[in-house]
Amino acid sequence: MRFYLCLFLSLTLFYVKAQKNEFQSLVLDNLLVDNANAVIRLDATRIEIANPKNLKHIHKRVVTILNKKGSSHSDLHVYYDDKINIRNLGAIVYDKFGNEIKKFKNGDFKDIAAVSSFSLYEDSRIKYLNYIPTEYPYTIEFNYETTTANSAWIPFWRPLNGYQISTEKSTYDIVYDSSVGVIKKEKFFNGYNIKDQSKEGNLSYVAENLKAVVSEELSPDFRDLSPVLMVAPKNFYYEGYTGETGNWESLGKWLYDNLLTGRNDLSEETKREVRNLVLGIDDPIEKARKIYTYVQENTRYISVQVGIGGIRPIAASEVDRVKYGDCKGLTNYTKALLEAVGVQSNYTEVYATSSKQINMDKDFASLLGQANHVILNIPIENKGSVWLECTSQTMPFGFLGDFTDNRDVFVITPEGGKIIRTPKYSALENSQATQAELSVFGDRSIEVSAKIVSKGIQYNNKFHIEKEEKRVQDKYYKNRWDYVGDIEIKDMKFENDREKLNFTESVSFKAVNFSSHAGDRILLTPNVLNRNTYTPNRYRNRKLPLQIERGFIDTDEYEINLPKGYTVDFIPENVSLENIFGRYTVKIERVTNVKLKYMRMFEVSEGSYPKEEYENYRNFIREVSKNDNAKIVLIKE
Amino acid sequence: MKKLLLICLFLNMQVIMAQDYDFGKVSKEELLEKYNKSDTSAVATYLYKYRKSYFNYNQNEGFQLVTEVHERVKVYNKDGFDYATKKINLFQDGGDNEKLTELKAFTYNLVDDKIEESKLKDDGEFDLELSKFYKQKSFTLPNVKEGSVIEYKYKVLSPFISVVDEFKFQHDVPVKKLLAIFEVPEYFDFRVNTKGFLSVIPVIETKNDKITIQSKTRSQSVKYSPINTSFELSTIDFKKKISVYDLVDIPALKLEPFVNNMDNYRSSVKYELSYTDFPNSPIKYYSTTWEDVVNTIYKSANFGSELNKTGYFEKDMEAILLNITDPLEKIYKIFELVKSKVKWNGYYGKYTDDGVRQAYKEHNGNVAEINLMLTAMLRSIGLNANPVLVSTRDNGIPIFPTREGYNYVITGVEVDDEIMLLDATSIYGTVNVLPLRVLNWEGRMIKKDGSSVMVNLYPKVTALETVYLNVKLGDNGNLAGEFRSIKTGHDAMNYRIEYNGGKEDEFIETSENKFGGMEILDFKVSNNTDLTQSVIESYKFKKDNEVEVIGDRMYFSPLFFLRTKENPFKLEKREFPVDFGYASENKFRIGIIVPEGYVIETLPESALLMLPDELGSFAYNITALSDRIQLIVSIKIEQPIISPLYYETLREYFKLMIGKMDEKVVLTKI
Repeated sequence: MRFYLCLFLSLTLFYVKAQKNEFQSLVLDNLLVDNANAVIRLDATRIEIANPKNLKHIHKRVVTILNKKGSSHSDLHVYYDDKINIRNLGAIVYDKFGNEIKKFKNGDFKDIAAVSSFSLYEDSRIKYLNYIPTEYPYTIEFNYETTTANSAWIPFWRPLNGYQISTEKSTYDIVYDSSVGVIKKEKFFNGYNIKDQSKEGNLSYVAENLKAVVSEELSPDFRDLSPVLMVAPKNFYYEGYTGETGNWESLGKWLYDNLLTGRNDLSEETKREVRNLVLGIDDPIEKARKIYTYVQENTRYISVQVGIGGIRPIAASEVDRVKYGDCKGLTNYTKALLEAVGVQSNYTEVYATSSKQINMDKDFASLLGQANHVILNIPIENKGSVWLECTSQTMPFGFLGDFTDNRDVFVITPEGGKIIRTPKYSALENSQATQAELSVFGDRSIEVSAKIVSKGIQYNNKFHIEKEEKRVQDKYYKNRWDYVGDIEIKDMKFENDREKLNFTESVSFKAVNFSSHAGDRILLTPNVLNRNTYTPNRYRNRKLPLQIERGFIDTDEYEINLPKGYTVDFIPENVSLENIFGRYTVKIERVTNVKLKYMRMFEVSEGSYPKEEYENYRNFIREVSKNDNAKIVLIKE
Repeated sequence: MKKLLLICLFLNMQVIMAQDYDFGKVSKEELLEKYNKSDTSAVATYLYKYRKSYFNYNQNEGFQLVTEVHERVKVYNKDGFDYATKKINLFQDGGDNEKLTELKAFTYNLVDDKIEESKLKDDGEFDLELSKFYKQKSFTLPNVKEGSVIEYKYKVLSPFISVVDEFKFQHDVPVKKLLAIFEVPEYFDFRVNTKGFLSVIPVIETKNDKITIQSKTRSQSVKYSPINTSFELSTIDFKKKISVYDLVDIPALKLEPFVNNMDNYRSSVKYELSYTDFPNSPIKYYSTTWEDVVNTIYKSANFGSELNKTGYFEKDMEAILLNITDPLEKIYKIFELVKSKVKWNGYYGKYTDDGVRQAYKEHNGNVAEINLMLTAMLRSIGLNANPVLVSTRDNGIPIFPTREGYNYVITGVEVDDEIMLLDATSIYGTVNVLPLRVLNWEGRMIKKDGSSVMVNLYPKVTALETVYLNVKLGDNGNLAGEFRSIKTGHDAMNYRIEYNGGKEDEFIETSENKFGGMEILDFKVSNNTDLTQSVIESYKFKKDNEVEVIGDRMYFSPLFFLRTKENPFKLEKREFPVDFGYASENKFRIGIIVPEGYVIETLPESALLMLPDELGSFAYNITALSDRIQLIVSIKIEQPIISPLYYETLREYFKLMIGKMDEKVVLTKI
């Protein structure tokens, strides 16, 4: 799966004349240096919008790079295309005393095509400078101005740029004509020294002395932690279109009328073909299932982004002809095919990413800057919605997976737009059930035959294995059970039930280095197939809240055949843990003298908690790890 | 004559038709094929891969290199869709540029038992300006489905006659039929470099060809009579050598882990221009033997002459060498001077870019600028220093003499018959401790008189790490203890890069988490910047989860968190050498104090494992004295590269070693 043109540029700047020694970096405030690899000394954005067809952007950013890890924060690049003119491009380097040591002009910048990894072609280009520092710290000033007729996108203000970079001063000014107007929304400003000095026709903010934030495991996304000022013009112009930003409803109407209407034409032949596919089917869900399979079998993902094509889909008839498209094109194509068989569906913008669930802002509508992907929504009367990911040839029907699950998305209907939440996969839905037979031998080896059924997000994480090369599959299991030691896979079988959304792995293997010997005793860990080996990192002083994005439930049931000539010396006691994060139980039963039964259940729920809970969660996981590692002791008869 | 020609043509056609590799002649059988029978896991297969490169004479522009490509690809499944998009990079330099022409492409599908073709149109073609030097032409075919066959052909015209792209025979997917042709007029002499496991022998034949030249003659029969201009066509006959590679059923090249560069094993042929010999002009040599290669490189203005410039550093050098007489100390001082004065800009190269002088002034430069400068400085004080050409790991192993075979240069300095190797692009590298990118078999040292010798790049000295671990066991099984490690050679270099690259707090936190939630106190590092000494790291620690307390007994591996838990060699078979980069030894000296109220019930036995041919060894010596356990472990890898012949042994050795390290000490409550 891939996503499209993301117009998210990290721009931050200002326009004050730099004076000598102002940018010395020998003595800096400790508050700014703490946890920082770089310090933004002055970061100013000034945007002038004289009319909806004239946007000028003046960028000035002075940053002190403290060490090698801070180098990436110099951000010496500017994107452009044939609609954007760059002027006064340049950079100045200051040594730690604040003396100017080098100056770069327009000609010193390299100019290359800026095609994202997921695209075959884009019209956007980048000018960048690769400065090699001779010593740290140093300070670099970066300036440019751009002008463009496309006013729809105003970069949001993010006075904190990322992890481990602090900000001494950041200013943000938008001077706009009354014919343009701007709307704005402040988010996560609390606790930061930020002042609003706006007046009529001039939006003006200043932030000072923002401390660096360190990235921590299991925390919310940086965008949900750091201050941001969202801004959009009321009246905009974009690639030949004029429009008005108000709320999601009106923006959706505008998008529908201007960019989607008329993009759904299909040839009579294609219409006939898909109507034949659904012959005799009444249920809209079943019709959609057929159409989705048709799209998956006949198209592929190719991304080409040019001009308005960054936000408008290619016509359905074009996709029908070449049988490829990007997320917009394929979604719109699917929508057109559905329409041909009498099923209404809605083109939907979303911010897609697997690691975090990022919402589009319910109360702040903007044409650009909040979404990077498109999916399809099919409203079903009295039953909510069916959602389709149209860029994947392998995702099951109606399944979004972790790429777009559980977040606010922008659904565009002929009547207007609205924000709807995509389905959440709860802990009980993301299940993995393992049944296995284990035979332990006296020579430290073990033979295992297991059946594992995965659902929900756990299905999502695993179903791709089926299509991998044998070699890759082999390695996958060796890595998944790396703690078992020298596994030799005997057999692997897979069953992917795309309708019921469950994936079954039947695997058998032998491992020669499994149990440990200690004189006459054998130590064996009964949890062979689902040992938790991950412990969240320890932080001396946790600063960020705890966030568990998705929950899951795992159950395991193993029959264990003991080696000949050994009897049980010790069996760990049963365990039962329960807390706000989840549950964990382990039970070991003696079935006969030579057979044991091991039963385990581990459930974690999704949730957000204050930072104080982090250590408790970590302890819970550590306790689970400890018990997953508990050993049975056998002794020679 | 005409008759003969006809027959020839006819015969030719027959051959082509029988093979069915004519453009557009895609068969139903090809479309019906569900998978590749000789490689069922293949996502796609080149049914036909044709390339012909030849020289064309144009009276205005001279010789031009023409490359014709024709490929037919079968796509078996969705993972093979990437083969429906082709990207071709075209080089440009100043006014000269490579051009792609005559592109034709089709997708074939079987629909209701009929072959349906879809043509590539303009909207599927893209031209991208990648950078100053490269343009990219790309195209993606319409209507591609599982089972489709794709076919395309195009020509690339290039004015850069000395640069002939490598003929690659082995690809990530199998090739059923490959035909590669290289035609060279007698005026060019190319050196052929073959690599890889496949045997590829071309059929070579010689043919006649001619160039037609139009010349203009002005003549005047009688003085003051009108001047006549007459045009005349003249032909020049020449011979051309044609090499034909005709291969069938080429297996895919599959990735294996721990291989330094997979391309070293890819079957291919590379032609490198060694000289040109045009009528009425002197022979121009490019390269033929290693001596010629060295000569060409050495004589280049961006190499040899850069070594003779000295003025720019003299003042600074005098200052640092005041009162120093020991040559080794001088080398050290100069090495550090270059490292501190000029930072590496990340670019490789055996030739300088902006030149040493500029690099010194600007405080940054590429590999050649930095190390040629270092060589020149060492020479200027009378030391026998020379540049050493290197092919980095990414560049592959230079087996045949080629200029492009080397892409990097370091410095070798001879003192008392010993060659010391230096690379000043690596801040924490020291004498004979080169960055990993350089450790690739042998380099070639060029002496002042232009002669050259091979130099082994692998370090002569083993990287040594000694760890002292003193542990006190609590009666709850928790550990408290002291850790101290001493590192030399590459182990020290790697540690310095890590430790000096960020903040100490983060480094400690990473260490704590690396060992599974250890608590570190009193952390100390010495000699992290003093490269003449070993790096010493020490700390106190607390750790749980290392000891199993079960009933009245405690079970633990006496190596605790220091033991190797996983065999890095997971595959049962291997075709390529195992590359450790450098020889190493790890020594662990561990002392354990048994908690009060417990006695030692069982100790693992001492053991010694040896790899054959002194490739490596593992020694495990354990002793006990009432409440104390002493363990000394030594793990040696004595060769940086181990042949795949030893793979099974090596894998077994790791298995036994890991098993031994896992063996438990048993303590019992009294």
